[in-house]
Amino acid sequence: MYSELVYPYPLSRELFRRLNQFLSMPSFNETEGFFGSLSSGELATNVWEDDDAFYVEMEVPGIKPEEIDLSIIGTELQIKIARSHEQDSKNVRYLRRERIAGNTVRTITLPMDSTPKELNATIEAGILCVRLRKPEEAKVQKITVSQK
Amino acid sequence: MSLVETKNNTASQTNQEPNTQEKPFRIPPVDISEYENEYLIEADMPGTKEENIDIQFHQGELRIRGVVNTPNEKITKRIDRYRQFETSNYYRAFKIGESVNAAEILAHYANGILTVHLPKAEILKPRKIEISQK
Repeated sequence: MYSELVYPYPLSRELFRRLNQFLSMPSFNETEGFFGSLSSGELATNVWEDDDAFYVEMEVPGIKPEEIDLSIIGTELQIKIARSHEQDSKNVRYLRRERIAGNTVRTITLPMDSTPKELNATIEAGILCVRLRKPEEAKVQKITVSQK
Repeated sequence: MSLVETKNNTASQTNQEPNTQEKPFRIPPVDISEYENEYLIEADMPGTKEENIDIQFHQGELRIRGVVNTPNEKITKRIDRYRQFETSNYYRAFKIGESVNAAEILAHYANGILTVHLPKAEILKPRKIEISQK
C-alpha cells in the first residue's frame, strides 16, 4: 500500500492507458465533443461504414506508403507509422514547430465480431484510407415480408 | 540587436476570420524555420489539392487558404462511427512585414504538405564585409 502512495505514476499511467483505449473505441456513435477530442501527437482518424465495408481514414501528411505498417489482429486494426528522420540542417533556426513528428502507433477496435475479409489501403493528398470489407455475417440482412 | 527583434516578430499571427459568410475553417499546424537566405513555412493541409490552394501576400501579411472537397460525404448510406477530423477548409495568416522579398515567394504542395519559401529581403541577409588594405 505504501509503495503505491509513494509511486502513483505507474497506476495513473495504466488508468490513462485504459481510459484512452476506452475513448478510442470506434464503436461510439458520439462524433463530437469530449469523445472526439484528440490527444497531442495523435493522428486524427475518422471511422465510418456503409453496407459493404468499414473505412478508416487517417491524416498522414508527408508520410510515404513505405513508412506505414498496417496489421489486423483479430478485430483490431493497428496502424504503425515510422517516419524516416530528416537530417536537421545546422544552419536552421526553428521559429515555430507545431507539426507532429516521430513515430506513432494507433490501434482501432473495429465494430465487428470477426476478422474483416479484405483490406486495401491507399494514400491520397496526405490522407490514408483503409477499406475493410465486412464479413457476410456483419452485413445488414434484408428480410422480405411475404403476404399470405 | 534590432535585427533579432524584427525576426521574432515575423511569425506573429493574425488569424482573423477570412469572411463571416464562409464555412467554419481549420487552422493547419505549421513549422516555421529560418535559414540564412529564407524563411520556410510548412503547413499540414491533408485532403486538399494544389489547384484548391490560394496564397496571398498583401501589405506584409501572408494568407493561406485551402479548400477541401468532400466526395465521401455524399454517400447517403455512410454511418459515422468515430470522427476526429473535419473536412472543413483551411485558413491561416501570418504577419511577415517587410522582411521578405515578396516578388520571389514560392510555394508547392505535395502529399498533404504545403511548403512556402519566403526569401529574405536583401537588408536581412548576412553580408560579409571585406577589409580593404590601404
